[in-house]
Amino acid sequence: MRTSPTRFLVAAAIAIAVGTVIDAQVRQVNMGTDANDPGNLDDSEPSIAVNPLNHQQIAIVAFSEGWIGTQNAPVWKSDDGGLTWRKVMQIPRPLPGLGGPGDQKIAFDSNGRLHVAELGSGMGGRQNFIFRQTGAADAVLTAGASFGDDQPHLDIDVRTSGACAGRLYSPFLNFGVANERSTVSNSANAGAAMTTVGAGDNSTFPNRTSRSAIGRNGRVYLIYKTREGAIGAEPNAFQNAHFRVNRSDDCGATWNGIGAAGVSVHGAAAVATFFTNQFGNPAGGRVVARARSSDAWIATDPSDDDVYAAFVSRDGSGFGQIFVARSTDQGVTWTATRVTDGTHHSAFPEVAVAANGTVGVLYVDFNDTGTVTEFRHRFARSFDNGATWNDQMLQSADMQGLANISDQFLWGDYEGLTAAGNTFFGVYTGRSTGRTTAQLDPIFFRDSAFAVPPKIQVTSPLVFPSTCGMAPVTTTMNVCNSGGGPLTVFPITSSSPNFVVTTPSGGFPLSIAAGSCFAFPVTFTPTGPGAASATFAIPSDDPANLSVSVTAQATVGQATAVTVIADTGSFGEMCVHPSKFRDLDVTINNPGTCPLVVSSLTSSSGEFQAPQVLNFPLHVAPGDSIAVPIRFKPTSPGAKTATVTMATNDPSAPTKSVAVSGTAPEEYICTPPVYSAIDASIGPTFGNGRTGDYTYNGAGGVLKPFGENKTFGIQAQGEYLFYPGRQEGQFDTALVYRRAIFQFGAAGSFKAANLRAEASTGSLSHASLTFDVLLPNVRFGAFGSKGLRETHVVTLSQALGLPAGSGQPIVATETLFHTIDQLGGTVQVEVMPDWWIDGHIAYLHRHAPGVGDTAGGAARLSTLLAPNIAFTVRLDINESFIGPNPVGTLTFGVTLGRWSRPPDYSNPRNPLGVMLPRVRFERFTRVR
Amino acid sequence: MVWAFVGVTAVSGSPQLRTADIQKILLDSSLWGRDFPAALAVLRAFAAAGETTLYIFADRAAGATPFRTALAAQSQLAKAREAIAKPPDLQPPFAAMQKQAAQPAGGPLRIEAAKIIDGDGYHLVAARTGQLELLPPGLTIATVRSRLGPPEQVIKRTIHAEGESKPVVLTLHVYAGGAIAFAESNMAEPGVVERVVLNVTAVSPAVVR
Repeated sequence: MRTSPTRFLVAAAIAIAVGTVIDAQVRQVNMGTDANDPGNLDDSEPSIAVNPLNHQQIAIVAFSEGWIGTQNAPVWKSDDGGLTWRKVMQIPRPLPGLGGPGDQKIAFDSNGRLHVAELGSGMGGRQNFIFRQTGAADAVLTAGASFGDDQPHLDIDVRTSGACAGRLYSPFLNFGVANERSTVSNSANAGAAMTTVGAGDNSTFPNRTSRSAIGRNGRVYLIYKTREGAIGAEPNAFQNAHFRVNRSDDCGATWNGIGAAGVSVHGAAAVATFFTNQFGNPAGGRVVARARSSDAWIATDPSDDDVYAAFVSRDGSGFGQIFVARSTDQGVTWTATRVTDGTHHSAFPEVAVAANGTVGVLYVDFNDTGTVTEFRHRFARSFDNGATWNDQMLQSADMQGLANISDQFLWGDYEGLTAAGNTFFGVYTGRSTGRTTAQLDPIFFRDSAFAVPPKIQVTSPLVFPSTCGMAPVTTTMNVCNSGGGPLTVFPITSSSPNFVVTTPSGGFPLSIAAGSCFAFPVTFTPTGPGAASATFAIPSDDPANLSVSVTAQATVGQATAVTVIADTGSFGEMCVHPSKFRDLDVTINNPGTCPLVVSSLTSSSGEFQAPQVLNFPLHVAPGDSIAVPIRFKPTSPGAKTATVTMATNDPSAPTKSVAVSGTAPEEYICTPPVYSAIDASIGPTFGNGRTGDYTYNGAGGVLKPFGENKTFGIQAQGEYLFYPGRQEGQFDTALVYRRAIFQFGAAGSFKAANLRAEASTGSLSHASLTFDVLLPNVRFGAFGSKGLRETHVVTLSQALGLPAGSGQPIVATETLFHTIDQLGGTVQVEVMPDWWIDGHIAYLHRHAPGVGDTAGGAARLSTLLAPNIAFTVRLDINESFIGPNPVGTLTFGVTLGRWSRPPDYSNPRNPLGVMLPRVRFERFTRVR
Repeated sequence: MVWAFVGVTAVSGSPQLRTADIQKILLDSSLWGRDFPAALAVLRAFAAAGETTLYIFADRAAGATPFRTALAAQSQLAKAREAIAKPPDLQPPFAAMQKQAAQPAGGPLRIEAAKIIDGDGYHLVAARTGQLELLPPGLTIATVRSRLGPPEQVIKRTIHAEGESKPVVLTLHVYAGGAIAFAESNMAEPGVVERVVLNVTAVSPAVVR
């Protein structure tokens, strides 16, 4: 069945306009660009090969840059099935002085290694070489031994087992004999060494057009023609010929598998085929092509080993036509059918057979019915073993005037066609598209081997379910085939390593039957919260969509841990105490979109206690909060800091820390010392003015600090003194203030004294100020006192005095007590451990008439007998009642309780108590 | 069948002017190698063999006519060898130039039938076993233009071989009315003069009396 030529023209026009065209079948790409072909080279006579291990890797050689001493010749390469191309300069000049490439053919071996057959031209003639890949794919190729002298072709047995597996064959025409002979060199080492074997029958006629193909059983077929008779008139000259196929069943050692002369593929009668330098219409100087060995090609069917030979024969139409002969018995017999329609001269056939048995033929015809010659590259396929043909126009172009055209050569002697899997891959030299300078360029094309090609369908975007956390998520991507033939899917690539398509168990390429789908597991591995996306490139043999892009989208939720604590985590001051603590809540809030999981909560310090959560983890729902109490319970004084750390599933804060702080004041602040003691002593008195021979006394006092820093203190004390002729009681109250090593005191003292000789008890009071310096082992100070109630009459006697004037006065005689003002110093010093001395000395300012000031003082030696029990010995001089003569006491006593002593001086802050002077007093009489 | 080079182009211009131009070009030492006078000496031999076009390569001179086999060239080869045996009677400036040229170490040129880069055929080739420098190393079209000015024409010529190798395509920069063309080749480095094409018919009278 044929399709309308009009449709082909439209398709070709679209191809010309946009460069890369999708029509119903063929995908075409102009490989040349201004960037990769700045020299506007003609890129003619192209050859193509597809890596059997990866059909996305395609290699093409053409007459692009030549090799020179400083530059290698290129191989065009595509890694994406032909969509994009790059030049790899990897064919070196094989020998100095050789120009080239002069002819070329390309092939891959079973390991995907590239091989190129090249012709070099020098002053000594021509030499063929096989370049083989010995390094990386794009590394410079290695030239092998030279062989032959014309148009080398190349095929490699890609089988991995069998006697001829891996064998390389390079047919060429041997010009070194009288009748040129089709010859095949073979190599078991990738061209490093070549064995050349004559193959064609040149016994009567010279040979030409040497092409080969390898069957899946390792048999090798050579097609060639025997040129028989004169060449006709130009243009479009014909010459009679037979197209013959020889077969080698022994790895190229001999070529007589079906007879030394081979078998004519069109029967016994000769055919007329082109032998012309003017394929086309040269009228008016129009460019023409040469077609001398451009009339035969051969291929094998990889599915059944059928052999197909394409050749040119002028038939009853008067035009040179393309025929394809099929052999189902490995070259013994052939049946030919015409591919073309008998309306135009056609030549340059290349034939290939796809895995499904579809046969493809690339050829060229021309239409010169107008004022120009349109050369038309065409591609015909047969889905019924060559019985009928479906023809497509690849390009119809007037090549006149193109910048790099070589008249009588144009695209060269042959072009490129091969098949890999169920796809045909081809390349021809056609009119450029998208070039600044109109020229010849290599045009890659590919087409399906199915009449109704496979059609890939994939839903895009591929949306992953929202997820929380970093755990991989898997979903399914269905790749479907809505076309007519099986779809081959090649390795799928991802733009992101976080989105991975699982390779099928059978690996790539993957075949999906028509009407079926394949579910690819796709795994998304989150790396962080938020939106994530990637693009999958799904290459396939859908001719209309060689690579489908599918966007994958995923949203990763996040648990977010936010902590709040009052006072920036400061617990303030908290005294060390076994039963005292302070709690402060840490609020954990989750403003994220996923549940927050708190898997642990720890404190860096035992003084800041995290709650004892029995069952971790804690869960905080999105938008919710929980309060976690942190307990500050210091065990020692000082500034305290700690970090409360919680492990969460917040990806941005997997460990969340809260700094807490607090202060435990020193013990003298939290538990300031309270001094209290009771004294009792007894002992003899001495001195002429004593009021008895002995004395005993008792006293008690208390000192309690107060205030914010416990630097103030209230000191209260009382004392009772007994003498046989006297009793005294005194009560003192003082306010004490401590600052560093200094201590100040202000006191008021009340005394009641009773001398038995007097009528009543006297009450006196004075105020005193004290000042102390507290050094590590000694306390010394000063004090002063001044009477407040300085006098108290204790005895009053009245008598009538002498008359005076009109009356007689009453004379009153008063005996009174009077306070004595004091100014003195104090000291307390340790003499040895648990032994200390208190003492004071005072200057006593007396008020009694006629007496002078005096002094007084005391010293007490204390020793600690047991905790809170001290023994004291005290010596007092003028201790209280000051008579006309000094008196004193020596008392022995005991102190119960505790009063400050030298070891307490290490306390830097609290008041330690002051020595309050007794209210000293004297007695005298006055008359009124 | 022999696939012949078509020729440079039709020679044009008055003979007197053309001769002067030819001599000026051939006497410009910057355009020729040190052994170039030896090639002029065999010009008559190629003419005698029927060659109308002579290629001057860097290391040899060759007739443009290809012969299918070496045997097929024997008749013309004999004529050339016969002619080369007679000392040339050069025009005075070329005679002086030849006298000044040092006797080449490899001896005089010999004419053989050999292949050249153009194809499968055999050509009459004048060379010698020793080193021969007919063109200065690395001569470029830019140098030619700097010495001679723009060419009168730039034309392409395709040389088909009998086999199917890529044809040699020469880009000819034509001077002296077509008698001399400096040629780039698609088989060599772009911009470098791969050969000089001499129209034997036009050049011979300017060189040989």
